[in-house]
Amino acid sequence: MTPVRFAELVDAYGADPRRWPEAEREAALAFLERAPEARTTLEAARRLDALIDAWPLPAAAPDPAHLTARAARAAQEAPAGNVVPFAPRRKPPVTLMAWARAGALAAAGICGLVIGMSDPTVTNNVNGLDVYDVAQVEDASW
Amino acid sequence: MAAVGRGDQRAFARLVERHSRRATALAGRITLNRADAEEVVQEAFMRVWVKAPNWRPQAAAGDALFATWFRRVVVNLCIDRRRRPVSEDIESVPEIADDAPAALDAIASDETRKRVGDAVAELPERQRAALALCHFEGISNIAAADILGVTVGALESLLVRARRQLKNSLADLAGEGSAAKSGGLR
Repeated sequence: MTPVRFAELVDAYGADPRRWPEAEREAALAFLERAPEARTTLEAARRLDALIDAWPLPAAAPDPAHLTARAARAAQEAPAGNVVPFAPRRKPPVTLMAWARAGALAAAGICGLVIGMSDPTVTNNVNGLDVYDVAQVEDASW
Repeated sequence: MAAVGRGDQRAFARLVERHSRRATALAGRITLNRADAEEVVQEAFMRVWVKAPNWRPQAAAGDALFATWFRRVVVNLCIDRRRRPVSEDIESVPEIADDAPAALDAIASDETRKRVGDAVAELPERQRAALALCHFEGISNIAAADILGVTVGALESLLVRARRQLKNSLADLAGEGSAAKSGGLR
């Protein structure tokens, strides 16, 4: 146990040895015995632990009978074999293929923009005003 | 779980009785919201009921394995929920007793609890979940990491960041001569 690792342990798990990783607890306690200055670190962590102990609980436990009844109803409504896996969520890694897809999407967007800006209907000079003028000429001819 | 898997409602009721209190405390500490915590626990028990027929405990791990799995369900459901502002809820609801080593709760002032609650609410949910698991649940770091689906190193990183942010937010309470030592929690 090094001073750095001891500080890391206390930073992460606090001052109570019961919360320290079991594999390192004994070594950390031995370190504390031979390095009294580590007690300063421990005391600061203990004050924070005391504050965390005051973490308020917003919820009261639901009525077990109510839960049981709800579960029974849900079980009747659940389709057979409806088992939900609970693997922990993990972010998918960003692969080379993902970057390639993003690049292709961006390129397609730029092409679309360029093609859109060079729309042949714009160069034909056919707009609302022209149509209006033609209509007026035709009206006048009546 | 085997009895629950056979549709034994009394066995299920015993399971609910045994785990609902602690599960609700855990969910409450992560969601910081009474309604969300209750819904999470109900949903978690629904999943227990549905999953039970296919539950295959490993060797002698039995109840401990179930508790770890069930905590994972609760934590995942909590994190899946959209975070909501909850300060009113925390202030308005009295604390319930908890088996965790939280003796100082009894003497913590309302003001201190509010300050701590506000500071905790500012933590990202995964940091809050890591802290709730390691500080109150009395489980090993390996089990906590397993529940969160991260490595032990990543768990320690979550804990360090959470505690440092709390220390900064509560610097006036956590400083020398304050907190429990000098009655700052009274």
